[in-house]
Amino acid sequence: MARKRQGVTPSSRRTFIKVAGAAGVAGLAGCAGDSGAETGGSGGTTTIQYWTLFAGGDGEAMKTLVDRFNEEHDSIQIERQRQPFDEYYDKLFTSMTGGDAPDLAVFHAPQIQRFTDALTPLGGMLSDGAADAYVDSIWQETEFDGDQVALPLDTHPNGLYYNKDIFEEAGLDPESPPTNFEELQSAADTITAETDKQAFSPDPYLRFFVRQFIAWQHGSGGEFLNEDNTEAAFGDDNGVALAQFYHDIANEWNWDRADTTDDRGTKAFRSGDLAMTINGTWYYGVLAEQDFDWGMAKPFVAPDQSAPQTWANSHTLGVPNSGSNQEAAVEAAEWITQNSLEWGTEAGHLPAAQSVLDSDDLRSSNVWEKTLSTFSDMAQNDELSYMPSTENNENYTRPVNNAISQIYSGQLDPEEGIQQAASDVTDNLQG
Amino acid sequence: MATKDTGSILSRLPGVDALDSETRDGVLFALPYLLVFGVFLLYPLLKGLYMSLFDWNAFNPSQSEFVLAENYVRMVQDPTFWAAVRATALFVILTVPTLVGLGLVLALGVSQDIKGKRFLRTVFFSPYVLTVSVVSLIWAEMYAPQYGPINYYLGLVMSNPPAWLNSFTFAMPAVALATIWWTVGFNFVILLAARQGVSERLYEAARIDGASTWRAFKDITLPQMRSAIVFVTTVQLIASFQVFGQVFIMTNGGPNDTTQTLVMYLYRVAFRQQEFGYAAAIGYFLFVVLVAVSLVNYKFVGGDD
Repeated sequence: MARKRQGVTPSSRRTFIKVAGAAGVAGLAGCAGDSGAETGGSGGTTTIQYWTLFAGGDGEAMKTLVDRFNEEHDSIQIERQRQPFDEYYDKLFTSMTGGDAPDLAVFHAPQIQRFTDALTPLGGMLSDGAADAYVDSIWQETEFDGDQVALPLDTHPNGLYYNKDIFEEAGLDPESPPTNFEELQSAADTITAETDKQAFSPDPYLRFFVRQFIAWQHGSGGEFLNEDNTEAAFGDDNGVALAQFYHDIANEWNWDRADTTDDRGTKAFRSGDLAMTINGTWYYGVLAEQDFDWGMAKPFVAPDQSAPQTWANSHTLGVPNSGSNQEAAVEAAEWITQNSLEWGTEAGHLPAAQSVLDSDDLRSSNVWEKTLSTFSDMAQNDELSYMPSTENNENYTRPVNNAISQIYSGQLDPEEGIQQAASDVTDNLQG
Repeated sequence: MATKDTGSILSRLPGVDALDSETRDGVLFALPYLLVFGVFLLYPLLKGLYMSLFDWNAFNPSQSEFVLAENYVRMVQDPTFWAAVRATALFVILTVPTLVGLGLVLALGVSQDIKGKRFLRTVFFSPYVLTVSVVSLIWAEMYAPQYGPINYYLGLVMSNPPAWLNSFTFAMPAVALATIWWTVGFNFVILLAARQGVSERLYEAARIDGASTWRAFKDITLPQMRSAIVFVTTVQLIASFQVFGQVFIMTNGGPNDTTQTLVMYLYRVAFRQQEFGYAAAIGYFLFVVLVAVSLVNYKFVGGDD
């Protein structure tokens, strides 16, 4: 007697797999199809995909701006997407090569050059007189080969942040932060001797050393790269002296630990265990939430700063050329960059729009008194050093960050380390 | 007449009755996998080879410049590439023998009749279910110089415990240790299954002949488990040569590129430096190495299976 099987028979299972195989073919064919351009939503509203990398206070401020834009506009709506900071440019690059780019995206000024081939020149799409709406020097940072390829949102220079409570504990005047190397030395030595706190860290993140290194190198009369950005120039005496400074902070003077674990300095500063550090405008938003009293001064505290400079960068907004909503994206970018009051008052950045920068709302705000007036002062005195724009800035940022990190943690000789980095950078720039 | 013709054409079409039904079914069964294989493996493989011969322009591929072997020449002359090869080789040496050996020891131990072996099996395998990011973050905290548990306890007995992940000497061994903890469970399970497949009759016979435990291990256990060991070693070699996630998260290639492995360098060249042609060449180097290592492994260790 043949046994009757219940349920699925072998033959019906085989049929199923065959059908599934055929369905797979159809499914994969579907993958290859063109998904087509997305245009607008219903009722004539254009929706713009807008990528940012802002977290924390910056993220909140940008949300405020975008919400305000969306309230005031019917025909254009912005959909803000925040990407993780560390992978932002990798993701953006992949999206731009894959034809799935956002309509509008944030770019740091020195990053623009590597994306210029995939950005829309804005010239014809801007409103009349747009150029005059921005601070001239920042406007020029967004111009490449005669094309305006992005709109500047801000400038964000570095300052010297210090914990007034620790200054008091050490018996120092909390209203007199150090203004040069000698004063830094005296303050930091006192803090090291009188308190159990760390005195000074030149980069609270301990992985972006190159930023202020460039500014200090300029400040001591040296150059970072040669004039046409084809060779490293920081392997000179100025650069070596500066490398020695980084080494001594953690290995000679005990102002900080010889430990370059990511973010160690910012954790220490926020928890009130570090007296002084150098960081950007955005620190205002972070420190506003701390329960100690703090101040900010010009970071001209490296040795021999005869022509002092601080590091600066700009956030800008660019429009990828593969998008189908370019006109709307440009309109949104103009609005965001020219209505950026909260970008100053909440996030603490120096707005790039002249009218916002000059506005009473900004100048009477707490942030102006606390930090922005000092930043604005440095901007007006031409004391800002932007990072050089090259085809790929990692060519110089990585070797320098690596070298200083190892010099700081006492694993590399300062002179050898910085000169090796200089030779690596030259190789990379010419490679 | 017309009807008859149609019939004869149909009968000559494959899949109707020109092919025997077994071949036809076989092809149809394999079709789903072959498609996935073709789309996600074969096509990228050939495209990668093609790209490696160009100075690839990612934004405008049609403007890519044909450079023949220039990317490969550059690779051979690139010190960062060789540093990545050394870092990868070090990682392979640190992980593969330990992972296979430790997996074998754990499998043999748990296959004994000991108390709590079900519990131990679960314990040994459990780290493997975690994702690479979780494992990396846990171990980054373990190794943290000031507040990490390792240095906290070391600090009780020595004055300056090393900053593990920031040290030229210890960064790679630290990543390797985390990897061993994480993935040894996989090897353990495969080898345990293989051990349990060895017939107890062989051991009984050996005992009757007076064989020592060592002799039984050498002449019964190892030969019987050979194909499983070869499999585990090959899979492990491939995985270790391709290490990326752990170093990316725990050290980001540092300090000073000492833990920058080949795949990490490839990623940087492609996505940070936008040089897809060169990255494809590096990918091909790794591919050839992996094929060669696997073949050698099968030939010399695998015997004639």
